[in-house]
Amino acid sequence: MTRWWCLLLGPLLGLPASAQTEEFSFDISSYEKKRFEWFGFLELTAGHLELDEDSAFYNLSFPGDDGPSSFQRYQGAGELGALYRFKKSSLHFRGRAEIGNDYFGTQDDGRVQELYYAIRPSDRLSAGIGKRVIKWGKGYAWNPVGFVERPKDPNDPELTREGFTLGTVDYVRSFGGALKTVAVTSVLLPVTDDLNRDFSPKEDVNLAGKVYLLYRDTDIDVMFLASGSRSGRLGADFSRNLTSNFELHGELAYINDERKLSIDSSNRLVIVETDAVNGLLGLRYLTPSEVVWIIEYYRNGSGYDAGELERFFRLAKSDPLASSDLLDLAQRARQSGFGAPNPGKNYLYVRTIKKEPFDVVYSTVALTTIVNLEDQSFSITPELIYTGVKNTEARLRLVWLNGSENTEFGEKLSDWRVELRLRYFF
Amino acid sequence: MMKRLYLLLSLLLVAVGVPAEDGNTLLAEIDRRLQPESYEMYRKLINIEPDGDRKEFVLYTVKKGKDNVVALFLDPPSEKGRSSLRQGDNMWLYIPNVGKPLRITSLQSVVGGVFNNSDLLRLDYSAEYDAESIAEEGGQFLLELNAKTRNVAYDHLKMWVDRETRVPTKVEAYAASGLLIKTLRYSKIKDFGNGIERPAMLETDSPLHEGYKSVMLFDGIRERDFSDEVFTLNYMSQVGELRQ
Repeated sequence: MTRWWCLLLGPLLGLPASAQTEEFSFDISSYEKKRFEWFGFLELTAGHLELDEDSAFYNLSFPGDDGPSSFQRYQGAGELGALYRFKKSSLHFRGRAEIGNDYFGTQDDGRVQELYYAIRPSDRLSAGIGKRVIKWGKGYAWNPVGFVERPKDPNDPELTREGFTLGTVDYVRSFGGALKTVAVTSVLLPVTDDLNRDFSPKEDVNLAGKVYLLYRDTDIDVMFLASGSRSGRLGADFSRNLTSNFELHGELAYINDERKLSIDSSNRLVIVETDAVNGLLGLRYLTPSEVVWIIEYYRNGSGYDAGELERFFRLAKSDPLASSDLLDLAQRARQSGFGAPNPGKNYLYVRTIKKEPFDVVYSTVALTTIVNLEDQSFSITPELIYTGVKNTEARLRLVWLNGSENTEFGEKLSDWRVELRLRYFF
Repeated sequence: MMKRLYLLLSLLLVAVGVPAEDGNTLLAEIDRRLQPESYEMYRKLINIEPDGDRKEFVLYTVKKGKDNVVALFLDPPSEKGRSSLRQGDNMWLYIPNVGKPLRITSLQSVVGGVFNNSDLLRLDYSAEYDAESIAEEGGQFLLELNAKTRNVAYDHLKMWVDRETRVPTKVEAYAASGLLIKTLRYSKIKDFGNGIERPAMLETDSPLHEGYKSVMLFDGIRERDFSDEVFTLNYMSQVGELRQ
């Protein structure tokens, strides 16, 4: 109120300009480091899905059933993080609970995504043990070198993910000259009957490692996962700012004797063992009008080619009454890789982001396109984000999928869906 | 004889108001008066919309040497835990949900408003700019500064400096085209202790963001030394542990 009186009366009273400006205050005592901290968010999501009744995934989701042409989905979720500090160590927790309702009924889930103990004896050395998320790679939508993490959803790459139970040791050194930083990370990930079964069903103690270099202003990582529960793999990535508004990044992974489930020409599920090379090349570019472009090409050597995908789609569209065995086969194939968000071999990802369009402060508009370059099918996702209300974020997005018969995006469950998500941060 | 001549010349220069200063020496002095070379500090950033609505951010910042700086968001809750690291021309952003550092550009703004990443992770002026000329205007020094490399966010600066306190009062930032990008105004000189006496407030506006204003308030500025390893990607998720 005072500032309005100052602004209105200031010029009349002849007050100097500085006296007319508002007062600001800053008390740093409220930001002191605390032994215990907690944080997180609550979110509500409401969505409408318009289904593609002729698609393969519709047939798998509603076999022999006169399924709906559309349905709504509602979800409430909460994520809680906590941190407790000891002298040189800390205990970290992150958990997520959700409850949702849609055509299939009500589902709820609650799980600890991270719970680990970390110790930092010095600025150079740190170690941790427990359930923890490790993220490797420079790609925004995909990470072929993410050897010890759950796969990212390219439709929503910033979603939080669950970790694996593992132990880590990190050592970092800084230098003068062209080589500025060297960091070494080692990871031990055991798979037993009770631990990390979703990493692989095969029991083993898995060793992974990464060496990071900041060399001549370029981030370079070289990483490996030794053969164990999963087949052995080697990888490398890089990222570099070519100019103050242009960044280039890439990843390359070689997987030795990778086993994947496929469908042969006689409609049988077969295990195929092959060496795979996966790669990604991408850029971030900020235009003079402050539009951010993220463009990535992804070569998924572990994926399925258009012919394999077509065989799966034909199988998935089998008549549930006449060929229930074939449909069972397709259900198993769906759970073993064909149901992944992007199971194909070649993709293009383009995301355009404009903050505060038309001078609407705290708003962001974005448009994301994912194209399967083999079958030319694609998804387009326009979205609007608003963060103008304190501690909240509202996101409205439409996902439109398009492709001809027996193509990846042409055979998804829905033709399009719209979703509103409200988040409250605390 | 030479001594007398030199004295006479110096007196003459002062009398006609031509500053007997070297621009780059003055710029280095300005840097040291604004903050120690290695320090920690707290900042509140306030973005003000044309209708008066505000959005506030609180950052904890540490800097070492000429080109290492890292800033951690302490508030609001939606940004808490984010950190930005700068090593020379390299900048990264760490977002807890994303879980790994991503490279960003100096011209982007992670907080919206008029301040960009380069303003939030500002290095010493003398690390990024050379003084091209020094003059006097309205009882203040006027420095014309040119960027040392093309990677610096602003091509050139005009900096007005208070003669007595040797701190800037106003800085105009220009693009290579000559376009005025923003104006920064320092004010409210405050004694932060340990010989640090400097402006506690920085306001900025821009013809590119008509009607908007951003304000930065400084507090808790303290000389402190850090290991080089604090300014690495591995440390970005741990910056909060540096606070005492």
